[in-house]
Amino acid sequence: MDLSLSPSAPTLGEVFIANRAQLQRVAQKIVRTADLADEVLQDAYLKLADGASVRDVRKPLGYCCQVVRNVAVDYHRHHSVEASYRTYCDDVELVSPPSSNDAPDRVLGGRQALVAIDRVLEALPARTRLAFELNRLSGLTQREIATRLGCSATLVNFMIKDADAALESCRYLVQAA
Amino acid sequence: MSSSSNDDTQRDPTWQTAWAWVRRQHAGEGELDAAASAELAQWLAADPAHRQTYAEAARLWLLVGRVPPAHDVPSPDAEDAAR
Repeated sequence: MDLSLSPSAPTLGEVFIANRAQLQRVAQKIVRTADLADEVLQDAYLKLADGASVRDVRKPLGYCCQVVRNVAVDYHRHHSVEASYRTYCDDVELVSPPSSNDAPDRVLGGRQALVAIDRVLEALPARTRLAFELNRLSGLTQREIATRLGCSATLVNFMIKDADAALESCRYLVQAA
Repeated sequence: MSSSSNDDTQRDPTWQTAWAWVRRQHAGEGELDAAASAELAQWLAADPAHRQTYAEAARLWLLVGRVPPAHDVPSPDAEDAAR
């Protein structure tokens, strides 16, 4: 089965369910309400399996947190844009759900899209990918990353820009037909 | 899936702007300030193509965040994980 890490290890789905309360806290810290946190958790749960097929998930609970946080932050971003849109541009409709609710990446196959993105990140120098992951996944500032890697904050800034530029080329994965 | 990750697509200034906005919204802990929020809202309102492209950029950002890390990086939820 796709979710299994090895025959004896619990699946990502099992880890998710066993730690549901903690994941709920992670989500609620970001989206504020319990209802939205529930939505985030449901959405995140459905997205777990794809990741395991891209590369080995060495820290299953860490990965569950990553996916929950990712979806929650997207919900939050979406609601902030909607709110400011209503404030500044109330004459134009902004009808679009949080992007996590959009179908296209599922139609396309989330799995293939993740594999493609993983390849793009893997083509970067290893330290650039590390800097990118410390920024995007661990939430460290560029200064903190510089201290950790023993290089200048300017260099970290360049590395993160390189990663962003490489990812910019992945538009075809999400482009509407 | 289209295989056209060609130069034209990549150089589309609307796409570049949309991707930059999404990156900026997620950079650091803080939210966009009022001026930046207004600027984004006005850019979105200016053209349906902006809104569609912005939605694409948000989707890409979301996909990127689902790729498992290649390195052993700390989780921002470590204090929760300790419980």
